[in-house]
Amino acid sequence: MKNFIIGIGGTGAKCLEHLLHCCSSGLGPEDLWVGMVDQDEANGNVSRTKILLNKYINLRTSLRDEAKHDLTNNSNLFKTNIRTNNDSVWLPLKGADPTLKEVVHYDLLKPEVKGLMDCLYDPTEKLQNLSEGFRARPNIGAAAMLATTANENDPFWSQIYKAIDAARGGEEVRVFIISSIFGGTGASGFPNIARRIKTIQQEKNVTTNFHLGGALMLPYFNYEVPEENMEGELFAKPEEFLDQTKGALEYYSKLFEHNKIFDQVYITGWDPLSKLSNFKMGGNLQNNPPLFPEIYAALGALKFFSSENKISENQEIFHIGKNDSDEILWSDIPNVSNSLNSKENIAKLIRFAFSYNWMYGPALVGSWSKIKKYSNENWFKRLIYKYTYNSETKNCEVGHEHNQEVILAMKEYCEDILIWITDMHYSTILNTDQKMNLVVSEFFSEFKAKNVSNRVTIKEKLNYSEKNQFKDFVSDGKNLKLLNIMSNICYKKIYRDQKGLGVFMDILFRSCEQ
Amino acid sequence: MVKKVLPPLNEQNQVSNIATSGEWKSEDASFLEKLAKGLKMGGEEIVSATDIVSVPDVWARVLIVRNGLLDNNQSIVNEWRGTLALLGLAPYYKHIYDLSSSIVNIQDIKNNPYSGGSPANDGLAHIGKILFDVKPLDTMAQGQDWNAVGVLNFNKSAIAVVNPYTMLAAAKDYTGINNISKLPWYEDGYLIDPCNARDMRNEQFAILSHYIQELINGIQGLTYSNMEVFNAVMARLQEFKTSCDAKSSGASFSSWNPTKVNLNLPAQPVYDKLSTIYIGASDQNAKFDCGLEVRPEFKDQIKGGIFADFRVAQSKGKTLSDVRVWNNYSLNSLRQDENLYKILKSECEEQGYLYLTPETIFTEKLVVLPGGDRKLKEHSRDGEQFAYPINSSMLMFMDPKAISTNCIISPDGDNYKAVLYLNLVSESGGSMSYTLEKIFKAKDVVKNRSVPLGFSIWPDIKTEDWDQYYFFYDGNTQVNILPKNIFSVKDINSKLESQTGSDKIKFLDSMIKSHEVIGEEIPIQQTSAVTELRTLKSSPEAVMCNVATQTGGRSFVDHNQRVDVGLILFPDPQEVKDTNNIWSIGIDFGTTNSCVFYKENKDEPKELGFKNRINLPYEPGNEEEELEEVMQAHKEFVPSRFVSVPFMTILRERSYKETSSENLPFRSNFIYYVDQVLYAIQDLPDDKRPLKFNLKWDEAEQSRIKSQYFISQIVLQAAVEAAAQGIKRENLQFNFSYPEAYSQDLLRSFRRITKRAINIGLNDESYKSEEKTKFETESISSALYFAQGQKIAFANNVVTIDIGGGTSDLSLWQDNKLIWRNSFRLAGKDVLIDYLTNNLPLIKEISGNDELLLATYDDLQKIKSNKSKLANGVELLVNSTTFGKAFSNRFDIVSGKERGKELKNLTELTLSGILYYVSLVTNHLIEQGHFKKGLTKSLRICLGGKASTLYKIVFDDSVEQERLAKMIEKVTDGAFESIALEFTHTPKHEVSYGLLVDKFGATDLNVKEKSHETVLGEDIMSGKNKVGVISDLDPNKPWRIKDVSKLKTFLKYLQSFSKIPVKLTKKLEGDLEGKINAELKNGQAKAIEAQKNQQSVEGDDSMKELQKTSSILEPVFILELKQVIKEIASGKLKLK
Repeated sequence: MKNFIIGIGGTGAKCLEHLLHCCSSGLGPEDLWVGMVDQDEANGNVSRTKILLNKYINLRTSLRDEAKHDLTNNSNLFKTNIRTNNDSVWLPLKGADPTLKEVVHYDLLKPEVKGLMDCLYDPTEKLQNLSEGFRARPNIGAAAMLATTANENDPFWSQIYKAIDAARGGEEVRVFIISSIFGGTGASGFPNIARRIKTIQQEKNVTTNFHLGGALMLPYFNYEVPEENMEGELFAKPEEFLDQTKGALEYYSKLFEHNKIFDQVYITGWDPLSKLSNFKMGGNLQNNPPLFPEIYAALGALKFFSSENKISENQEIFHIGKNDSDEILWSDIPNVSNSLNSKENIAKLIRFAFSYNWMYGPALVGSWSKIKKYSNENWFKRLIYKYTYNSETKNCEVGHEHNQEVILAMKEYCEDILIWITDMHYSTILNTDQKMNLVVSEFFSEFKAKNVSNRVTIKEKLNYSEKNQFKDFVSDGKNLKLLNIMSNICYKKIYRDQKGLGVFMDILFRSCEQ
Repeated sequence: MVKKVLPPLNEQNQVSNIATSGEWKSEDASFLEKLAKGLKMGGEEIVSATDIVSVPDVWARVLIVRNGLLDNNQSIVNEWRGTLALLGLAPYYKHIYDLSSSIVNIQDIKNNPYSGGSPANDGLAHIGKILFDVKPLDTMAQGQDWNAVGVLNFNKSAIAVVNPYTMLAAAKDYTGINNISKLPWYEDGYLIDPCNARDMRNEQFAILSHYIQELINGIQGLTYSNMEVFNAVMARLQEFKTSCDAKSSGASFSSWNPTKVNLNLPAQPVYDKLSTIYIGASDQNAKFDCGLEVRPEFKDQIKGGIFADFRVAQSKGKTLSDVRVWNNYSLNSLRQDENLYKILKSECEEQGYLYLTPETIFTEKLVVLPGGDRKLKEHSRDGEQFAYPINSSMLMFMDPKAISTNCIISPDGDNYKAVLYLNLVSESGGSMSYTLEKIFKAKDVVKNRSVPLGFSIWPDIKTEDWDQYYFFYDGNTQVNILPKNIFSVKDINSKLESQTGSDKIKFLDSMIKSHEVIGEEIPIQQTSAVTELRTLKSSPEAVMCNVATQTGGRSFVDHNQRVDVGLILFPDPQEVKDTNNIWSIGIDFGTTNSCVFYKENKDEPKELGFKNRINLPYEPGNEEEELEEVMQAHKEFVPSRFVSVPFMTILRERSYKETSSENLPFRSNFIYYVDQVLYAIQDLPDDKRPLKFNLKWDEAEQSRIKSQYFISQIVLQAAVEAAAQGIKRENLQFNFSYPEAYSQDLLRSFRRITKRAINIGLNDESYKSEEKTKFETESISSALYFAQGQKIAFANNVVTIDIGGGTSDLSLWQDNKLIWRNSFRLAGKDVLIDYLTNNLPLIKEISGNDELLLATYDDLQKIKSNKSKLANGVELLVNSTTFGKAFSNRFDIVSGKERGKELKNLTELTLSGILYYVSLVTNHLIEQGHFKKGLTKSLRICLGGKASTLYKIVFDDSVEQERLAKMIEKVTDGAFESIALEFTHTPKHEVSYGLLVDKFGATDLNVKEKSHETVLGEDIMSGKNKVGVISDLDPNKPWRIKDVSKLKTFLKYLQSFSKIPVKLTKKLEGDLEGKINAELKNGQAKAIEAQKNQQSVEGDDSMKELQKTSSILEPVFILELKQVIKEIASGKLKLK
């Protein structure tokens, strides 16, 4: 089964961040092509996800190398083979800095078509510079998306269009689109990329094996608009979120009523809306925090890709519930499928990240002379020494560059996970009455809501008592202590084909559950 | 309990609950609609649905409108209604917008949306394909599709998509479209529901309601395609109609005219209905809240005024929108569109309403008139006085009384506040009072201008019949306010009647801004001194005045360089009721003096003096000096005093030359009423505006015209007096006298001029002057006076001699029968005037110590080098009352002195000569058997005429009378043995009186005379025949006298009986003969001419008739006598 996921706009990218972490934990499908669409190439969220995607792919590639470090197919860590294009982000309008007027060649249009365009778009919209996205005007984006996605030769879209061909050949193909309902790029891309894909599907006369899913993020946050220099700018005004959402929902309602574009659509919002402290209109400063509702979109996508997900003939729209209290609990996180327990996998992943980041990672980083002090410990001997020992050189090469790269990459990745979960934890409930009971992170992290970047900093080292709080880190009631991990790591079974650092990584990952 | 992982939802949301947390629940598409409706919005719409930008579709605009109609979303519905109203009300807002449309063929542009070359292939899908690919699939009604849509243009800019969902969907943004903001149903960047617009009128809702109903009717018959949309659109239309009906509040039209607006729309159902628009039949009256009711006098010309003032709303506690200015438009409309007033003004004009604003009602400046006793009568007399700073067009709505009552001006610091209380009416009859105010800042207050004394209207009466008025202005641009527009009801009406349609209002409007000629304007003098005359059909109620702000030195300042300062109101003229009484007017157009009498029905003839009928806007004052000032100010017009009869026959010529050929009164000439002899004599040297004397006798064409000026003004003034007594012009009859001494030409000309002067004077071409004008000889008229006026018995022998300034008119009666009558040009002029002219010191002697006379004497001295002017001056003096009294009192004193004695003797000589001639005539009549000798031996001599006063002084003594009697007895060979002199009681009244005496009634005189023969008095040789009477003269033979034997005989008798020695030298005799023969030659030439003309003219003007009453030759004896008198007067012949 070929799976494709496209995160559109900032929200789409953020949902992909969650999805990538979920895939790291083993919740993803076997195979997944990931792409992003954003006209605002410099968008901080898109960049963050793009980097994470690269990290994922690189780390996974390093750890799924039969010749070096291999987690093997048995491991759920980085289970999903995620692919992407050379450039994972597709810009609808590349190169130039066009306006809608230029995109549609307004000046060359027949007078009556000009008149129609004048009715459909206001003067500001026609002249809006599109290089930084469609700025809360999805109708502009709609035209731009429809104009640009038509190019079948585009490397980005050719993947999907070829997949549609593959579907005709009998292979199951699933495409999933994530975006928010408001804003610019995402809002405009969601239905229009879907409609373009549908049009291609129809044009290619593919009637079976091809399924289109989507996650539409309804309002789940708002922000305070800075007063300075916003005059005349087009942007998504938070006070308008609900009104604009209503308008869009009515549109979708009518659109879906007469036109089955999606097979499954996952709808998520949040109440109360999270309050972002630092709003940026676009560009690289738009680096909004991961928020809990986004994980639903990610898990909705993974559900869609799940082989257990039987796609109905009817268009399905999914929504979900959480516990009625103001607390966000692990139980609120849906499973991807019956066989894929999301909360367990995610909990496992973040315990892995914690223990790797502050326990094992630091031990493994550095030269042999630094590392060798752990050489007599069981876990080291069992999982590292042996699998990094070069029989030819008769040296444990864990301190060698090729191993250190992986160790450091994993450390970096684990930091990302910890920051992700911590940021999400803080930001989702910030300035609201909610409580987030997924993890306890205060003892290792510091949160600065106003910061655009580095909102969350985590401690480089934890003292004993801090490490001792590991048992409370994940609030899933499992009371898993670091000692349990340290114990587990010595006993968990090593699969036969596992190689190199893949052994340690997988064992540690698996050790992070009871 | 499970909480939905969705945005905040309201409590009524229909989103289904979820059983377990963390588990996805599948829904169908309707979930989204429930979710949309379930969203927990703020208390009110933060974002108007029209501002929804979240629809990710190129057709978003249309889809948002569709969804709005489906949801009955207020903002969408409102805008949709507003968009529909663009069509429904298009004919009523042509001044704001023009609708057009074009078709966008989506099917076609899918391939190529470009109008010329296509852009370089950039790999992108073009907009045509995009629009096609994602075009909506369903429609409202069957037969519709999305393959073609329309674009509706407002003033050529796209404003709405004509589409199969919503019919119309307003453009996303139309704020930049030209004129859109002028629409009442446009607010804050959006078309709004007209039913919520503040500036809509109930008729417009009736129009809209009908349009929508027709749309509903048209769509109802179609089959739906998308039932939900179809029903929603129909429901919204129905609601719209209901709203319109509620707003139309009774407005209705009698019929509807469908108007196919020229829209190019896809040939699909619905669109044809959409573009069928209706105009309510235009039998509706204009609607307004702030109208001004037109005065009843003008109801046939205009309908009223429309007053637009933003402050009306506030003063009445209303909004600008509440106050309808004109049909569709309120004050708010005007506020929104600064150019709208032009359209309203034009529409008002079309419908007969004058559009007014505070700026057009008030004048630019206010004039504060200097204080003093001469208060303006019709203006508030408390405190300072002002011209009412209101334009004259306001008099169409407020009469002068209303203006004086309702316009109040009061000082306000350095400024002045003008308040005008207006009664504003609506077309439905409602009314409200409104106080209009204007603050005149110090810079707008004119304080150094006054109303000149020469600012008046004549006459001051008003009757149904009278339609001739004059406004007179005599002022100075630097010190006085100046007249601009005159407001006279009849003339305004007449002006308006001559205009058609909107031109009537345009005229009134132009009256506000500029100088408009009302009636006729006669610019007598246009320098820094301004004299103007304006003729009008009714008495002006007011005059709009202006001031010359920039001094033009001595040059005239035109109206466009003046600034309006306001109205000067005139008192109402006295209203007189017309009667059916008849007036006969007798006019004696004399050489020196003229006299007018009138007779009402059968009453006694009465003097017709001309009353002071000047209507002044100010109090003239009571002091003699003040009145004199006013009189002087009207010197160039009609006197502001009573003019008694007789008055001198003097015309003053103006420097202004009339352009018409009608010689109308007051234009280039006017009667110079001598008020003070001194002033008159001072006026003599003015050659630019000369005084014209001797009008009666000057045979030059120009002089005859002068006569016409003179007579027409007398007619006019007499007619005014008649009108003041309720006499209609048609009931006037005119009687003119003339002297037999008139030549036939002069007489014919006089008759014609007179008749024409009557029509001119009465300003009535329909007046039958031919029928209603009678002529009588002065001699008969004079005789009739004596018979009737002085009850002289004509049973015996009576001779009447009316000695005027220029002629002496004689008649001889016996036994109540007129035996003979004639006249000749020997009168006061020849004796007294000539003598005094040549003997000025005598005037000084007569003047005694009278300062005025002495001053006059000094003035005469100044002009003595010009004999003609000196003679006129002496004539003025002699005819003055002061001189008359002095002469009468002092003549006895001076008559003993050299010059006085000579004048006395000259006077005696003259009358003796005349009676000598009468005796010769009597002899001739006895000889002819016309006069019976011996019936009685007494002769009564009735002496009349102005000059008779001189004779009365001389012959008052019975000694002088006795001498005369003896001479007559001698000459008539005893036919008369005694004479009795009867002097007139009222010198110069006789003829005009006599003209009105019923010849066959009271006097019982037989005026069919036996002879009007001119007895020559001195025989003429006609060829070889000796001829004694004119009728025996043969024009074809030479006429000459051989000697002056009769004259010499007379002079001999004169010396014998009166002891007045006149010694003719041989030279003088020779000169006399030569002069008489020259006269005879002229007479003969005239006779030949008359003979020729006799055959060609019939009727009254025929030669035969003329010859009865006119003369081609004066009696030779009289010519001789006159020559002798002239010699004596000039000092060439001494009475020694």
